[in-house]
Amino acid sequence: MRDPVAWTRGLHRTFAVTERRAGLSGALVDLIAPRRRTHAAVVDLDLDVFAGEIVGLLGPNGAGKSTTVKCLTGLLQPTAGEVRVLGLDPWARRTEVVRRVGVMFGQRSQLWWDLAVREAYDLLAAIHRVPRATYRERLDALATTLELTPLLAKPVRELSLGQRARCELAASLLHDPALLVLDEPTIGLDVGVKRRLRTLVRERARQGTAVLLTTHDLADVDHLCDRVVLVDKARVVFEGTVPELRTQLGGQRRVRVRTADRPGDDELAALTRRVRSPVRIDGDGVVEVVVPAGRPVAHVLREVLSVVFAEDVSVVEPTLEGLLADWYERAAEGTA
Amino acid sequence: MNGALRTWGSVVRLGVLHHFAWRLDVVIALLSATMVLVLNGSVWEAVADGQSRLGTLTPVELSTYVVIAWCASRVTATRVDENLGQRHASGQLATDLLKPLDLPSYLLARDVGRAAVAAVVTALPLLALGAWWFPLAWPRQPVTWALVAGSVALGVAVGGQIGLLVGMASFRLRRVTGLVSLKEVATALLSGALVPVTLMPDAAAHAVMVLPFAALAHVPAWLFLERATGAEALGLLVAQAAWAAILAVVVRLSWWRALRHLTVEGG
Repeated sequence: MRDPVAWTRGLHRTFAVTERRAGLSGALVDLIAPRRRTHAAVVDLDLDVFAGEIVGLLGPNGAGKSTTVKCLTGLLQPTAGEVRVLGLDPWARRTEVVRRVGVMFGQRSQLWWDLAVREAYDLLAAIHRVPRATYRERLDALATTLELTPLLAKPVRELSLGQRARCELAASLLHDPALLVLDEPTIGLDVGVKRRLRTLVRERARQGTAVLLTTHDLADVDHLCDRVVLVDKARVVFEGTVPELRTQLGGQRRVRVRTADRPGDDELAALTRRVRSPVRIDGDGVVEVVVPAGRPVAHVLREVLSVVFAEDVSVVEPTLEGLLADWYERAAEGTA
Repeated sequence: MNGALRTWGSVVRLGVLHHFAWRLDVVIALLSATMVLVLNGSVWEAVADGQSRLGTLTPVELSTYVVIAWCASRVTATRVDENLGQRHASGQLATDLLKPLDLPSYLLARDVGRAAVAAVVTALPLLALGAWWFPLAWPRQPVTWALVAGSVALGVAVGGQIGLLVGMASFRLRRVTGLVSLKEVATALLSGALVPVTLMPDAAAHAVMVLPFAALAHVPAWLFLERATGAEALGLLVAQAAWAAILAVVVRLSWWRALRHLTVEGG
């Protein structure tokens, strides 16, 4: 098998955090003898990102996603474990590694506030030592795809969030990175801009760029990710494809049937026995049946229709968003 | 090498563009520098009034020293400390480190751009104004101008390195402003920008001449007066260059330490 563009093995990262004592006297004691504690941000994390692959790094806030990204880009030294990007240790050889890595933060700018977009790109190209002709070609292509042409003469500080996101993505691609790291790239963007960014990222992956994406926007994950890694409390709790994640999270489809006459309790009890699955009815007389994993929807629907008189029928797919929200909640309660 | 030239040339250019992006700032800086020049020059003129010499300086030489030292200090007064401190406080440092650049060199190169702008839009107008307002003793030898220019350039190198050290020292503080004002007071008092070094008590003057701050204003003024010529003038430039080199080593070591602190401890 090919070597991954970026990988970690047994990545550990701990931080010393200062804990504050309560109250004014506590603050005074803190001044003299601060209380420190070690906090593990990432524990034993194995991650591979192959060329042409888009890997989603998911997890609740504080799960360790950003720390992982920082270890991969050389901004943090791992406490233990190994990290390699293009065969190099990013912390020891940061400058070499970042020449081949493009990073876009949805919440932070890599451009220069005072400069016009084109000036900022010229400067980035000079910093990355992209030959002038190559740079012009790339900028033309990116400007066309992301419709940047009218923005090039504007100072970065005058761009709207959506315009800036487009400009930032282009900035992270000017040096044609082998690894593209996107840290919440679509945060706060409208659907049109999101779609445009996703299309470009897909396209880059098809051309062989390895992409690592951290996001809370699960539509990003649905549209982009070939594989997802779910982290929680510093550990990987799931790794696989998006459909596998749905199954893992207990994503079940439900059949919803609007009834003309509200069925009685014995009818519902009979239905529950026949489908061997939970049945609910709401105040408007809509019957909802969970389709058990592995059973065809048609089968369950036939059973339901044999008991109630239906006016309207729909099948509800679980959204990844809903599933993950449930899962985060269970994880926070410590039951997942 | 061509690539390196293009990279660093572009960063110097950034320093220039950055300055011009805030035109009003440039105007305000010029106005306040003008006020200081006129006030400080007038004070020293009044002090020297009716005296044939103040220390070793004639009244005309004293005015010249005050004007030239002030003009030079406007070019050597770095903003690197503030810039670096703010980058650290705002978290911008993370995106800086994702660029394949040596950050101290990048900030110094930007500061060279700033200094070039300051020389043209602040120092030269101040010099013209000073020449119109006060009697000045102009250099008799053309080579003096080159020595002064070289000395100001070395002053920019020294000032920039001091700025980097102040910026890094602020990493453990919440704000960089306190340290920056400390540095500015030290610079104003010890560089000759406001008080001619030669008018200080002997012991103080000797101490100041050993410190790097003299490179920021006193040395260019002294060269302009042709009080040091030939080998002695070169000696002053060599001393400035030595300070730039020593500070560069200290900056390098401090930067490694700061970087370790940031990336190892995550501070």
